[in-house]
Amino acid sequence: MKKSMVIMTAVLIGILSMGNVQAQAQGDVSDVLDSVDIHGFISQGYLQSDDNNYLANDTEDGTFQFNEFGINFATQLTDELRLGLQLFARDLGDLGNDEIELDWAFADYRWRDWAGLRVGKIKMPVGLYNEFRDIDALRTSILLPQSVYADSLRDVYIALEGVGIYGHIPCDSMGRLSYQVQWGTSNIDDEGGAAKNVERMAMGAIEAKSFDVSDGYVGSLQWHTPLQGLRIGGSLVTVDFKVDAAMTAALGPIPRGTLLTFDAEDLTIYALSAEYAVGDLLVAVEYSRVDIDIEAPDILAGIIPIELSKESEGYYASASYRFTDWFKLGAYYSIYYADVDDRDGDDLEQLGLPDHRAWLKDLALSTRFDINDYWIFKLEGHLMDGTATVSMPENPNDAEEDWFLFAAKLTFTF
Amino acid sequence: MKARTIIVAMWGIMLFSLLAGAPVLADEVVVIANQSVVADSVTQGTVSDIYMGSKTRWEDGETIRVAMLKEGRTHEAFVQDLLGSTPDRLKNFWVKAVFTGTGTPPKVFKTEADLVKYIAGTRGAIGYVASSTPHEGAKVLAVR
Repeated sequence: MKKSMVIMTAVLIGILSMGNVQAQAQGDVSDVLDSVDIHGFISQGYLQSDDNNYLANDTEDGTFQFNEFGINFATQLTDELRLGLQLFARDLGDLGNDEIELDWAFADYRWRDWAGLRVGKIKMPVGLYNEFRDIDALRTSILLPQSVYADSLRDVYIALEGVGIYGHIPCDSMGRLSYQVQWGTSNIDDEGGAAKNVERMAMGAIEAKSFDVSDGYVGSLQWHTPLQGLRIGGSLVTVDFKVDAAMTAALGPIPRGTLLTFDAEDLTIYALSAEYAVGDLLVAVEYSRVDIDIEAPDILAGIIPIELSKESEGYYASASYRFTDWFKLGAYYSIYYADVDDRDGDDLEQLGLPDHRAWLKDLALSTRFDINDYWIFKLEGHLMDGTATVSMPENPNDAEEDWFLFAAKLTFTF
Repeated sequence: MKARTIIVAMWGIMLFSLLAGAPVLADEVVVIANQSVVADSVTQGTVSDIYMGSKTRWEDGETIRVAMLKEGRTHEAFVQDLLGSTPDRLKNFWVKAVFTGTGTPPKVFKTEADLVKYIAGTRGAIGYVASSTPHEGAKVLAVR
């Protein structure tokens, strides 16, 4: 958090002071803001499910704990250099709680179209939509397919504090390549989705207290093919981190509350993506895999048979059609498996757990109404099969296998 | 059961037709640039790269200043015929750039006359207007 504050302060001072210099140079001394672009969005959603509390705590009763807010400031200092930052807050059940965080803040030096440098807190280009996953105005659906854009891992791969290079390489008749490579570290919230994920992997035996991310690497390559509107891409993220966690119960000689450190080396996320836009139709398919291997401390050896290594996978196909300026219809089918070695849930059943915790299959239908240039209203239904990403603590009386989720959202963007 | 299926299908087709609306008739659009721009012609791919943010400099190193219209038939014809896209997708592309901090959007004009004035007075600028719109002071770039 301290590092984020330093980055934010540095970028903000840069924007204001350089904006001032630029304004003076243009002879417009009185208004610094003339040279600073300001944009933002605010949205309020509603979630209700017939069974299972999902994403937020009490969706079975209906909840408004589902909102986002963002505002950004940016200025183009020279033809090559751009500075900007965005503040962001969200509430999604226990996540976010409307605490304002630094979403991104970086200096962008575009030396050539094929080679630019970014320094600061940079959004990670994972899959087609991760960089702008919080911007409701940019898609037809309310929820992105959770199989690939799981909110439980959002804080692991939303942004990196470090450096990145990027560029666009024209390939004549073969189209164009766009690449990004990033290196740095990231902040993982000790009360966020990643923490819950780790706790779930340990079957509730530990409670995550803090994360220490040492290194993170991101690579992304997209090929804008000669077929107009078709782009194909791949992206890879690896993150090394340590989790300090407390035992939630006494285990053998280890008393309850003992603080232990778990090593997670090479948490790897990769995604393969394709998107085709033709006329008012947009179709996309993506496949994503998350490999996580957490090494328990030696003191636990032989005491607990907890398997902390898992490979999950998810994929989806989506389509969206713009019928008029004000109406879009979209649908997707998304499948997620919590453990690729136990897609049918047999291992879970042997542990006395329901097999449907192994998967989540989501058939979603979305409608989007653009009221004007600023206001958007959306309605969405999800026919769900499975409970893989349904939180256990929020559903103490066993989750239901087949269920329905309704979502509505109103967004203002400027 | 059959009759109900047919009625539902007919309603669906009617709704689709209403929502889809009438096709837009494309005006002839010309690409214009500031007199400082050395090139006399550009490829369609180059125009697309410029408006999609992946090309920001002319061949002589001059920065490209991109201008576009907010809406209207000329804008729709340009985006569809030369960019192979839709106004909605072009707008979304630049909204993405704004909210990820990765680019400065083109300068947007409500009228073609204002756009021509900007092009004529701005080094490296590129834009487009209907061929019938007066564009003195700007040069026309042939699109190959």
